[in-house]
Amino acid sequence: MTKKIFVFLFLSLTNIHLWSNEPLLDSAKENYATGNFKTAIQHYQSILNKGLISPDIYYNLGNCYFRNGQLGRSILYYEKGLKLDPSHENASFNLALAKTKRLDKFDEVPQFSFDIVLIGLDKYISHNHISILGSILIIVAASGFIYAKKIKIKKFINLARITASAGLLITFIAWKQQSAINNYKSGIVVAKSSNIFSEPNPNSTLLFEIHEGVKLEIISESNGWINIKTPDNQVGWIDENTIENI
Amino acid sequence: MKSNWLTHGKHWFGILGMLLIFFSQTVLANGSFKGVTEVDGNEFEIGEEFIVTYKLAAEGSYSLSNPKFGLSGAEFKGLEVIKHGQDRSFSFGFGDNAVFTYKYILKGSKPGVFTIPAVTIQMNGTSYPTQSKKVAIVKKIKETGITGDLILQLKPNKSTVYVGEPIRYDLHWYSSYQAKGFQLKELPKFDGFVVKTLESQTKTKIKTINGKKFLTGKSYSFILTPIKPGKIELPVVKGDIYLTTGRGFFQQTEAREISSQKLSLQVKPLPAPPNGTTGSSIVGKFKLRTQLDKKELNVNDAVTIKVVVKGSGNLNALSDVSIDYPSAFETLPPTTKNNVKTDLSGIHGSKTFEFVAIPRQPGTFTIPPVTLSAFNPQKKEYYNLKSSTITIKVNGSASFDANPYVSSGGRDVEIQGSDIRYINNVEKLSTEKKSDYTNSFSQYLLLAISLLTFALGTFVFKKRLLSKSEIKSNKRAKANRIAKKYLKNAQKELNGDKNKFYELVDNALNNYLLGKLMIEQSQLKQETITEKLKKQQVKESLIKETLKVSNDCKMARFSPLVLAPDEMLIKAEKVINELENQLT
Repeated sequence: MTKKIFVFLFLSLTNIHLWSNEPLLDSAKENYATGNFKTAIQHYQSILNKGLISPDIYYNLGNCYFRNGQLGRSILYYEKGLKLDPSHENASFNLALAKTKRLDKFDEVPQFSFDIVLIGLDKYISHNHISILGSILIIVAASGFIYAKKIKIKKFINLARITASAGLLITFIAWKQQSAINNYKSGIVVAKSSNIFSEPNPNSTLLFEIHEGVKLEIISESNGWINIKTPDNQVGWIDENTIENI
Repeated sequence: MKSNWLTHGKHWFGILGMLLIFFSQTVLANGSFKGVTEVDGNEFEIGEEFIVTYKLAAEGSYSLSNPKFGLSGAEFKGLEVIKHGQDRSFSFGFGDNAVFTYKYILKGSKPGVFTIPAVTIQMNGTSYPTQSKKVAIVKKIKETGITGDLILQLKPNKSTVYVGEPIRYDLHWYSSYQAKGFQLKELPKFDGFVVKTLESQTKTKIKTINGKKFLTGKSYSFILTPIKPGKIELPVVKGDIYLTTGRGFFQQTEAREISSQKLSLQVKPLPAPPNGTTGSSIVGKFKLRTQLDKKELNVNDAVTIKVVVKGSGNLNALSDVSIDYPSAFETLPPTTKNNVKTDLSGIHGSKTFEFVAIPRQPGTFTIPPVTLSAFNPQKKEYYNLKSSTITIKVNGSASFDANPYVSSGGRDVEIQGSDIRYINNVEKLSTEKKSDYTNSFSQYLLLAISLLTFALGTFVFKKRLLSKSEIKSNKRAKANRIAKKYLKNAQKELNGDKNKFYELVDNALNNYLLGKLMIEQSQLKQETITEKLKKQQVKESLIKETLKVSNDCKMARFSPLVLAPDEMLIKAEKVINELENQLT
């Protein structure tokens, strides 16, 4: 029984990996090497349009946009790559470098909430791994429980109960982490500059102007306008055409 | 305000004094004593006598009978003691209840600032400390241009100054009439200077100038720091001198306005700095030193370097110093701490610049000495202040993204020779939809199965334990039936196999005892059975009978002539029936 569950479990986790015999990949690489960044961008984008993804494609696209002088989009794609693979070292290096080229300087106000901590945890361990850990603990606890009942050792029974509780708690954390990640939406300003208004219409008060590459937290959307929060916790509305979701 | 106080002072003192007499007896009970040092001024000319008074002041009411006093620690360095002794003329000034007064009459012979030491006054073995004070001894003031009866004069302490060099002007008044004091009408405005006004507490003296007697005093000092060169006009200082007429009760005070004469000051510009030194705005005598809070630290830890400039001169004009950091250091703008004082001896003190730097790379770094150029007005030349070289050892390894809260973007990060990394080879491509295990069907299934296992495990084992005890009670209930069954079978064999018959009867009895007493086959011994039956409160005679039947059955199987089979059967039935009655 347990064997079957494990097989099912791991089957559901593995993705169907396709070895890259994609001709567009090679031509994109060549174009990048020869400095035809625009063509390289087109090739990578058409791979993405096929419904294929990879953190490396996002990373390479980030590089293409960076070389092409599109700072906002380069930051966007580095962030996308990191979202897929938070441990992508080159992406985090290039992202940090690209960020220094931005015009706007925001003093990031550190926020402390359970959700922020959980999102930060994703860099080290994903919710899937936490879930698996929780499940393993619960399975071990359940089998241990049956065994303990059979040989009638009270100590083992209690140990199994504690292990099961720990497994449940860990599973709960994984659920929380997943929902925190899914609820946290952010975007990158891709237009050279954009205005932040106090209300979702261009006749309202102009609060400030921001430039490409700034990462904004997306609170809500309404009729072509997006309610955003800046890294220093200022809130306003931005035209949805000037920002792209990560 | 002050003129009022001076005019009506007598009345106020009278009323206040009377009030104090009333209250001192009632309110101020449980008095305490306090040592006090008094000097009749803070600035004296060379040769001028002045009085230092040490006293033990009582606060509140007290009673002393024949107290013994002592005084120690009165050593006056650089001052000459002319006379000293205990003052026996107790003053009964209001609020001034000194129980012990000791006076020194001193004079100074060279200019400078001298300390009047704190002493310890002993009374009946208890020590009371007093405070130390400072007095300035100055050169004899040259009395020039004293003509007329009322004069106000500004007297500088030097004739020429450089820009940035402080100069002191003392305001003296002279009166050939009886006078009480002097009061400024308003503070004069010195244009072209940074001004600090000090009020002086010199006593009024009598001086004879050109054969005419004058009352004179110094009331103010102005410390001026010129901020521009050239001939600068000083303002005319105006004030009121308070003259007294009449005697005793009829004494009256009259204010008379006097003003000083026009003066000007030639301020020299600073000379051009020689080659190799940078020009400077600070003038005076200074020393510079650096202080490091740690010589060895880890990458991303902060180190604080303090640059302290200390000395006398216009320290306030020093706005910043700079440290030449290696590029591995991230620096913050310095914070400045001012500890500059202005007094009669000029402007002096220290200014501290605190630099916080954070090394981002490991290694041993040398920070070149901090240098500063200053002008010495006495020597009329520039000189350089220089600290020693600072060496800082930084441990650890460099990390690009070590501190997440340090500015992560903007114009102030300078990138030199760094660039983005090259593109990666794309080795794997996957379909867009990546299924999560978290919140997936398999996770729910697994959780459900595990929890079910727990629930079932708890339930199933409970049931198993229940049925075991049930079996036990069932066994007891069944014992009688089983015994009857054996006896029935035995009856069938009554005329058949005798050996089998006795075996069946024996079995009936044995099985009955096994079931009823809940013992095992191995325990089926006479002693055990006796003991168990006794516990169940079975009569002694019945126990004997039971054992006898059991024994007879066993005997009969081997020697068939002990008892008739039908008799044996009846006896066994009887024993079982009686046991059934007595056992519950």
